[in-house]
Amino acid sequence: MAKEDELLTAFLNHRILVEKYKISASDLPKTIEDGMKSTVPIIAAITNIVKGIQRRPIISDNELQKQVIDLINRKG
Amino acid sequence: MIIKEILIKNYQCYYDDKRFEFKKGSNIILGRNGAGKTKFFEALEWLFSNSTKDLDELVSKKKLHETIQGNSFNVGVEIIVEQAGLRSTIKKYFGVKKGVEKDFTTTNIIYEGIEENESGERESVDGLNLLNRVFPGINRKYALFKGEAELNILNNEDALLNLINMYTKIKHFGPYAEKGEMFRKYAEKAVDDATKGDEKNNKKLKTLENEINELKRSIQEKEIFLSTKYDERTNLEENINGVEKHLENAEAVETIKKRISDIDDNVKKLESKLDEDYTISLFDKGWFLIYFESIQKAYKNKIDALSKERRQLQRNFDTAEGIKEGERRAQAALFKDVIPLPNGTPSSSIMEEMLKDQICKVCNREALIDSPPYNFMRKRLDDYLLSQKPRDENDETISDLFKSNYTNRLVTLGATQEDNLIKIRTIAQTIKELFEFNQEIKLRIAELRDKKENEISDLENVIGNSVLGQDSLSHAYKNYKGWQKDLMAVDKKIEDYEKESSDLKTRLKQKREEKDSIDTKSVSSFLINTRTILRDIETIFKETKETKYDEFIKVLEDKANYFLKKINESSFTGYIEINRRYAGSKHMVNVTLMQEGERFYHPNTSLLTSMHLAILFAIAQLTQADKEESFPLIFDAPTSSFDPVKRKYFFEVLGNCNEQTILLTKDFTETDKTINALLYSDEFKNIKRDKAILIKLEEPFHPEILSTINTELINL
Repeated sequence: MAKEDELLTAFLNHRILVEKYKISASDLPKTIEDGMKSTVPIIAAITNIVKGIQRRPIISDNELQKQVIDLINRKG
Repeated sequence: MIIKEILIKNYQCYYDDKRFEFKKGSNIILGRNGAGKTKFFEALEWLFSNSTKDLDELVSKKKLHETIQGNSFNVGVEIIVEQAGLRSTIKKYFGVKKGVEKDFTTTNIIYEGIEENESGERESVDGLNLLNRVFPGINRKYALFKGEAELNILNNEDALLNLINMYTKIKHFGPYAEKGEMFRKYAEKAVDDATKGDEKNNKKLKTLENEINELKRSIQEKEIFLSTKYDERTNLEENINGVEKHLENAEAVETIKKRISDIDDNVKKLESKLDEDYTISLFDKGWFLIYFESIQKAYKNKIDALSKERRQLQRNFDTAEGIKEGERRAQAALFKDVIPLPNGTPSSSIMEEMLKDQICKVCNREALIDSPPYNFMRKRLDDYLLSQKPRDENDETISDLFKSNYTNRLVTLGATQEDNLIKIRTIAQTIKELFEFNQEIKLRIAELRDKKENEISDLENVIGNSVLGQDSLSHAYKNYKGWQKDLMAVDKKIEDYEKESSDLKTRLKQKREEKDSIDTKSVSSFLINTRTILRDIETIFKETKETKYDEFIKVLEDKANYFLKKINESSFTGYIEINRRYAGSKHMVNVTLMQEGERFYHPNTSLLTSMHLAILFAIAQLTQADKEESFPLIFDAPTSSFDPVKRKYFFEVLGNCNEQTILLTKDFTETDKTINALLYSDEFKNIKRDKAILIKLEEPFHPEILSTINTELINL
């Protein structure tokens, strides 16, 4: 498993996604690729952050932040 | 990275070139005390450090001795390592030029590096840079362990976290927690800015923000206080526990010392009651008069007799004197034929009046001047007056029989003495009573002194049964009492801080909810929604990182306990507990040896060493799974406190360790006295290892002359 997928899986295993966002564990993406396709804003946002921090070339914090906010509100 | 070779050249006891070759797994260097094990370790430390000091000390005295004046040689250490199949050589050395006799000069230190590339070509590079690349300083820090004390790699609160961050994947979670916080703060600010657009909200919001910030600051402050108090409590408990094993003896010592002190006080009191100033009493209290009564009686008899005799003599004398006086007076009257103014005659004043008036008032007749009656009266008066005149010295005088009345004074003295006899008669009794009293006191003092001797003997027994001396036991007792008091105070403080912290957190939650309700009412759902999700993302990132830490620590704890049990097979071990706590804004990790749910204070050195080794092996094993590179572990005498059984299990663990290990030990060596040769024991034949080297001093050598010392290597 790629490092970013491992990280994403670790984050998406957090209870808050099941308890507060009512996302079924089986619906949680296992890879960055799947995560980017998610229509759930929080999953898309987390996936984007993981990708943004792990992948090269590095993008700026402002750019990453903008992407995250767009994802939260585009899909929300 | 593994160490393939280490070359030590003219470095202290290593004369000329001494090349150690190592294998990937477990390497053991055997040698007795003084053979050069520690010098080997120090040579490596010197190579890995930036030290440029005391070069003179590093020069092989044998080499120096054998070098001709004016000639030079090098002193240094060289290491050949292999990393990803490529070899690198790092040399650190300096030159030595021999002067007159023992004089010599040294050059500056030189680092050289030779790096092998993938095509097998070798090129010279900067030695120090190469070292830092192939074996970074931070890894070197956790690679060399000198003695048992240095095995405690978790000796400070940051050590484990540093290791985890350095060697495990957990470090990858760190940046997410930071980013999550940054994005959340941005979203909070966006909401705040929108809320503050309303003047009324702005004022309220500012007040709330200030209150929230103040509460956060107070909570952080309380957590720091709490953390300090937890540490204080741990230390106090450790201290108390450390003393508790001596407490029974310490209390016994205090009790006995108190009894001895009481005895000393009583002896002092009794001694103050002793009255043995007999010489003073002899005179001041008149004890010398004890037998005076008989003397006084004899004296009195003599004085009485003397007084009686004196009175008799005086009487006789007075009688004789009276007769003499009578005779004298009779003679005088006869001689003068007159009796001066016999009875019935007027007094001299009347006589003088009669002569003045020239009349005899006896017969009431005229007595004119120069008449016979007048002359008669005149003669009678003159005779009388003459008779009344005191006798002059020429007169015959009546002498005293005794000029002084000494006898009377002696009588008075005797009477006074008689009065004092009552007191004198009590002297003997007084002396007897005082002697008896003093005797009684002395007996009691002697009894007390015997008792004190027994107490001292008991004290010596107690001290003899303790590993601490009397002073230390006394200190331990006093400290124990003080620490108990401090512990109660600390517990109370912790209770207070925990309560205050909990109250503050409740208030913070309320204030945040209050602020959120203002935001929700006045800000667009776009901002609120963004903030809510970013808050959750921050929580997810932070809590996942924490969870990963806790998971790692749990696995580390399990692994460490596995190694602890392995090293201490068939012995008591207790178990290692690794806890993480949060103090203010800082994580702290505590490693504790436990038994039956309680902290196991003051384990013996052997157990403590095995605990440190167990943690070290656990970290090495766990981190190896995560990291791309592994580094050797080099130990100098890590098992000094181990018995053969523990040593066997330790080497078993070491043999199965995936890291390259180089261990220097004096264990397993013995001397064959018949041939005076150094051998290794049968026990060593069963020790799992990949390489073993025996080091020993080359024979012959002079034990007092360094220039005869040379360590030689024997590959076993």
